[in-house]
Amino acid sequence: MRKAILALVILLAVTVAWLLPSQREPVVETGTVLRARINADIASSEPGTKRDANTDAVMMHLVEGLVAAREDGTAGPMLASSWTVSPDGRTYRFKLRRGVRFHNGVPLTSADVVWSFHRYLAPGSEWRCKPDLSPGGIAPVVSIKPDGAYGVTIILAHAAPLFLTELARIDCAGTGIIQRQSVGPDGRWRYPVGTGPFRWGSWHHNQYIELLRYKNYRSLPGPPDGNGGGKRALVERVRFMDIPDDAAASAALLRGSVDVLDGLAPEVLANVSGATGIKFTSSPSLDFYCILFQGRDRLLADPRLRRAIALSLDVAALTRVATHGTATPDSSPVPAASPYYGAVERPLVRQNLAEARALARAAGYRGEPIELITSHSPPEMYDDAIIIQAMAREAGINLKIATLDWASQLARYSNGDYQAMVFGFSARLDPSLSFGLLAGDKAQDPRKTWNSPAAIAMLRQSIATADPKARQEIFDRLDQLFRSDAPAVILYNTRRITAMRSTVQGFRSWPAETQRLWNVSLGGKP
Amino acid sequence: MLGYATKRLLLAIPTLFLVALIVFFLVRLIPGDPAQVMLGEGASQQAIAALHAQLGLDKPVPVQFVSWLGRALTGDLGTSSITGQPVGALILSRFQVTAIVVLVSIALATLIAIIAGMIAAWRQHSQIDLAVLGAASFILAIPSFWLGLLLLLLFGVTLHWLPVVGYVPFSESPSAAILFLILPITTLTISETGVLTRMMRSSAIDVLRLDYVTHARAKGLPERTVLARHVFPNAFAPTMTLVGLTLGRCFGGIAVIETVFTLPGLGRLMVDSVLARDYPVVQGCLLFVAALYVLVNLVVDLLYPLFDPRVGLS
Repeated sequence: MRKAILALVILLAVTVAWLLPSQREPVVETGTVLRARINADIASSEPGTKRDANTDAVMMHLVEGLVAAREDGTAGPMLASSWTVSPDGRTYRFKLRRGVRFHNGVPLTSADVVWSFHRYLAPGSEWRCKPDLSPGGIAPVVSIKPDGAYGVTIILAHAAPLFLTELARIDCAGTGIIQRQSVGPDGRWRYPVGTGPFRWGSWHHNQYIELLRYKNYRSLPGPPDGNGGGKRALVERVRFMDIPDDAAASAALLRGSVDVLDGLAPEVLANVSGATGIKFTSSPSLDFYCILFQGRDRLLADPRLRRAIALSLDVAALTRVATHGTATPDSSPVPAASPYYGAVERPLVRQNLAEARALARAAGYRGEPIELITSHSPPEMYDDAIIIQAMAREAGINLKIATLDWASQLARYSNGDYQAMVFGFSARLDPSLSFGLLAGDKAQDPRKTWNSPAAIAMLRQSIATADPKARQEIFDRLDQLFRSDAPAVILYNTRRITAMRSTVQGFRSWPAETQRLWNVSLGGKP
Repeated sequence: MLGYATKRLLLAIPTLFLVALIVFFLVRLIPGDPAQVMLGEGASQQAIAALHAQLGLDKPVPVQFVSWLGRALTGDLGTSSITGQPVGALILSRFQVTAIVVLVSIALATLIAIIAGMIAAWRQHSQIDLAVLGAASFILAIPSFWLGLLLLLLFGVTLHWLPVVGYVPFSESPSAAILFLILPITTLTISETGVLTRMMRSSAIDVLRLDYVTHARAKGLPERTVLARHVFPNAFAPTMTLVGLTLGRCFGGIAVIETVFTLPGLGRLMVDSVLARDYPVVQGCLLFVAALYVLVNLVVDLLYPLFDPRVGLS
């Protein structure tokens, strides 16, 4: 017995001694730290390449582009103080702001802008916006040249009114201008050296990413506006904490272990609402959730059956139940928060079971099972599928739910390997980009559900048109065609809800869905 | 003993090869593409193809396997497709966290199980026995994530005694590290105590009925001595096998607890890697866990004769 205990003790002691890591410097806690939750670790520290929504949010604190997305989704000045566009719409001349310095102290010049663009558009680059700025894209870039130390000229292959919106895209990290020291001498990525209000601190994988206040940050004048406008780092450090579990994140907020809980899932709202010391803010999002249909499917190739499914749904009731009343029901790919959401886009497709049954019958549908793919990412998508199945059954439509994990669902979506699928698209700043998620040539891109030449032509027209009135007309026509073709059924736009400690001051959520921790302080009463 | 251990270790080689083979091909059978997951829902086909080439996923799967196995034999498990970190270093850094939680929890659970199981067996059918049996069954029925959340809410949110999320390595602050680990260790200890207690109780009951125990009592030995010297060693042997199996399982499988308490451990790494289709990390983790399983069970087998002299190593 004693021998056994002795053996166990020795074994444990040896293991613990091995486990204790070698001496590292203790972390010294100084200054104010603003702690915000992210629900997964960031994918990389490289802006706009290996990325997801969490990565984008962190990157937008570090890097800034020539322009930045404003609150209303349009592009405003950022590192460029002004710009001119040639009459043919092909040549953009940007004037850079003077006195801006990178986090390593190097002044921003046109050479850095040219270097960053060349890096983003280089062969082998995985930058998210590269296809749109390459031949065949929305705004193909022909050349980028310095125009003195503080001027940059970009020439496009053709006029592209969406060029600036494209540059401001958050999923492309706002085409953030980075300094050469972001990469090592061997060309390998190190960390982002940008011009943002915070600089890179440390990345503890699966724990937190810490950013430090950039003391020499040169802010734009005026109030904050989207990712642009006046920005100030009001805390010494920002810590993005990776807390995957919603319930644990709620507990952390209640306890005061995190200060900001952004993107609160509707089903955990009850955990924190009404708690002492917690306050909320919210804003409508430019995202949309929908049912995608596979137009090449034997059954769903007939638009009458697709319309029948659309008519079988009470979208308002579905939205109320699945999102706990937090989202806005919508039947248009133009999100309700968009300035282009007008009289044509606003009406919801009303549930009409008699017409749905008649359309299904006319399409020759005889109750054959239709697979509806969904996942739990986010959990509302699964609830959507359950409700859709029940509602469609009322119209005699037989949906069978298949629940996959996110990676499997993404693969099926990307390959067009599905009959019907509940899917969510993150916020797009312009309706052309929202319609562009659906409309396209299926032969070239199997993800596209709307393989209509008329729709593709109108989409191209919307991209090439600058006048807002003319664009509204195009979007109206696109929306009408969308409702008639029914390549997808739009369900709702979510509402971004943020819960925070009452000590947090200045946090504002916005339609683009990323959390912005500049102009946020910890000065309020606890 | 050395010969036995060497033989067992040599036998582990084909097992691990088989694990590597199955894992490598099974992982690739799961639908989903790491490049698509990394680049997101709007990524272009060209970007996905370029990333495939960069990750070596454009080569035939058997070629990928041979290349990976060749490197694995030299100790190089490759680099994570997502973070670019070396898989070996990644696994070891995460295993440190998991190992501390698992070793301490299983040691505590074993200690509790021995005491509770022996007392329950000794006083079979008494109120103490019923209480122990009821508690063990109750614990078995509680999911660990639920228990973890309850403890988190009680000790973290309501009483403010312990931190609710985060992790501090021992090297930075031993006292803070202990504070952060108390809740996950408590959760795992409670979760694993149930089954170990039941096993200890049932094997102790069997041993208490044997003639040599009656003989020991007839010799006039004090009951404490009978239990400690004659009953415990024989009764503990089956429990020790279960401890070994539990250790092996927990080393690779406390992802739920790690997720609830935001611990950067091996289980969470494995789940995240599966969800992101980070093939090199999934393969490395599973191979590591399989090797660990083999090793833990070997150690258990080597310890067996210490408790039961009838068992020999040959």
